[in-house]
Amino acid sequence: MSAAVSSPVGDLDYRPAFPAGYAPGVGIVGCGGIAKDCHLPAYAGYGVDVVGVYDLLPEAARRAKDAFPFVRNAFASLDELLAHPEIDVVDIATGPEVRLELIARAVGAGKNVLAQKPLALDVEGARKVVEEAERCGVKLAVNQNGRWSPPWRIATLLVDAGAIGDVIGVTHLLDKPLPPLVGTHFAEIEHFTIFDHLVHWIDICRCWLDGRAVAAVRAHEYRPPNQPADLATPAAAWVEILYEDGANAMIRVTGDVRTSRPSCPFWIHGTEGTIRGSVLVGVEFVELERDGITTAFDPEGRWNPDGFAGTLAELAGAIAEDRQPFNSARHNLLSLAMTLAACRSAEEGSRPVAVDT
Amino acid sequence: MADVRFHAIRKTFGKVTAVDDVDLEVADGDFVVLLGPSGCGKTTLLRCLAGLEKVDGGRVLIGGRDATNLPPRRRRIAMVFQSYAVFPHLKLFDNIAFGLRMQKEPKTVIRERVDFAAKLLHIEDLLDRYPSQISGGQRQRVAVARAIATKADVLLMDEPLSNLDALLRMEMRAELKALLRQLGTTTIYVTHDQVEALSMGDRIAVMNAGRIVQLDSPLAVYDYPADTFVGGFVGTPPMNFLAADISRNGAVPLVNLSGGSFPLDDPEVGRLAGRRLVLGIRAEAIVVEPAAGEGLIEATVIVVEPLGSHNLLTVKTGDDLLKVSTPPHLFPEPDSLIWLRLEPGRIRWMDSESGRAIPLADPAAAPVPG
Repeated sequence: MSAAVSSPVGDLDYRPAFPAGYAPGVGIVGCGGIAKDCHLPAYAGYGVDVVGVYDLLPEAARRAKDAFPFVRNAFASLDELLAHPEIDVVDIATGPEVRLELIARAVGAGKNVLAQKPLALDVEGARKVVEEAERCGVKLAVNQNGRWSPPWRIATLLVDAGAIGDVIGVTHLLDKPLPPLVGTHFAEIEHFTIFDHLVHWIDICRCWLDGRAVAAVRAHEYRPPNQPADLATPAAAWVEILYEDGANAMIRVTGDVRTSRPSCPFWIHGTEGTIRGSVLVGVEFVELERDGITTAFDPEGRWNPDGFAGTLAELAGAIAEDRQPFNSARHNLLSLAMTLAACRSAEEGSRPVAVDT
Repeated sequence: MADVRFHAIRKTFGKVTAVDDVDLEVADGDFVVLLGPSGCGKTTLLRCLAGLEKVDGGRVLIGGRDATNLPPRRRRIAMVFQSYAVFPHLKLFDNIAFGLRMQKEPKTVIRERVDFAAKLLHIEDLLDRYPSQISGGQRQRVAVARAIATKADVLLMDEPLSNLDALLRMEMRAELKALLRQLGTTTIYVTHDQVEALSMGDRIAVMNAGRIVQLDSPLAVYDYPADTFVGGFVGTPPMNFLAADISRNGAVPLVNLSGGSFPLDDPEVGRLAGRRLVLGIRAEAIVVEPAAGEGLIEATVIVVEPLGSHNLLTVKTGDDLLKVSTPPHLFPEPDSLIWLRLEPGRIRWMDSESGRAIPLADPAAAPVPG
């Protein structure tokens, strides 16, 4: 018997947990910043067996292997990685433009796949690879690592347990400085703020309002006065998700703010209570308020690296137990559709856009 | 149950060192209180033991097993926080059972453990209620019951009584002490309340600036503080500290204070002659005399605070202000003159520069620095 830390936060099963008796061999495709800054440090911390890495640029793969000695191989080709018998999970850490093709090849090779977010540039293409993975009997999961950000994970478990009754509204605010974007590949991504960044927030709203029909999505993206002139993509945006039963989710990123107390607060309002908290920038907490009682949670861990371990651990658990992972690509299709609808709304004067389901 | 060992634990937050090279051994079944002011590192040390903070250096051993890198749920510990930390949407039974269910214990075991813990905490009749239907004190009982129900090897308590009102806190203090003695579980208890520490722990580890400055029994911490910080932090009122030196008056050493001198017939004290010292003495170790006499120090009464069981005087002697405890019937007028006798056996000597205690004659009585 192993006793948990006996506070609610200790009792809640919110930490990434790899299944007992099964440690998947992982092959990483793409050795850019996300792999080196997030995937590999997380896997190192959680003792994941990374069989090898591959990148279009062989030097990038070699550098990744050198920087993380627990990586066993730097493969010279994708075929070599896909043919390796010890690789159970192909972890695709590339940009979205080549993602579907890589997923299709990995699925075709009989591998389970963990694909970076956003899953694809269009819903139809994403749906096809989901169906193909299901036809081939392999698991296809999406690296929506925010789902295992400790405060959001705790909030998800509380929502699922009915701790605040039915969710009636979600509010997010990103009250933090932005990382320097000028000159990075992020600046080249169309609708970067919504498509690449707020996709996490949209996805978590989708989780907290799971099972509810989305009526439409509205969004606005804009250049705040302090945005650098040479940064083409708008740095500020809001996204509103409207549900058919009247529930609503609102996400607002104010751009590059100046604050000595940065945070990313969120509120989940329910028919019986409220969950409030914050993620990122070292301000990570959750509070559950119901019936006049406020229970504070002080979670262990951080979005990075724990979120990145969480997505892989969930996929590993799903493989071991032959079930669909919580972060399955099928579950994520709606998040992708909502994100793409938000981008379209932003292009079309913030009009409500129906979600392509 | 298990013993706990901290070896050279170090934890920093940016440039701030919260825990600085701490060694501490807690025997199986022992009840150790981590006591210190806000920011001294006591909660951080507890969180390092719980696995809620990753240490920057050193090792944590629980039951002889290196737990330094184990996740919290594999450390076989249970924790009770200042906030009651109950699930408001679950009935009391389910709150207590929650951890056991997460451990996938059989239903019969869960029922048995919940009943056992609920009875110990006298909440067995409330198990069908929600937290909003019970008082704050009862909610804290639920939190303690939940911790006990898991049958953890080590109980960690972080200011568990701080949210309770004074009367309830006093009641729970005694009850918790009796309960923990009955269970015999190794317990590490964090508090900034020195009354709580003195009344509950088998041993107290007094912390300051990330270090343990004294580890001792409550009585030894109170009577033999390791330094002026401990003497000033532990006890209400704090220990009095007076600048002093020793001179020779024939065979008997003479203690010189700013308000007068008195002989102290102790050859050990005589050996301190020529040093700049701090004399430490508790308020209750000073006797008020109505008239001048041999070995007495003259003082002027500044304030009298009647506290029921005793009076607390603030008096001035020379440059020093002192707190003096007197029986309730002794009620001198402000501005009146009184004469003080410092009980020789209760006087403690500290080095004026380092503030560290200077152990005298009875080494067994001297504190063991942590």
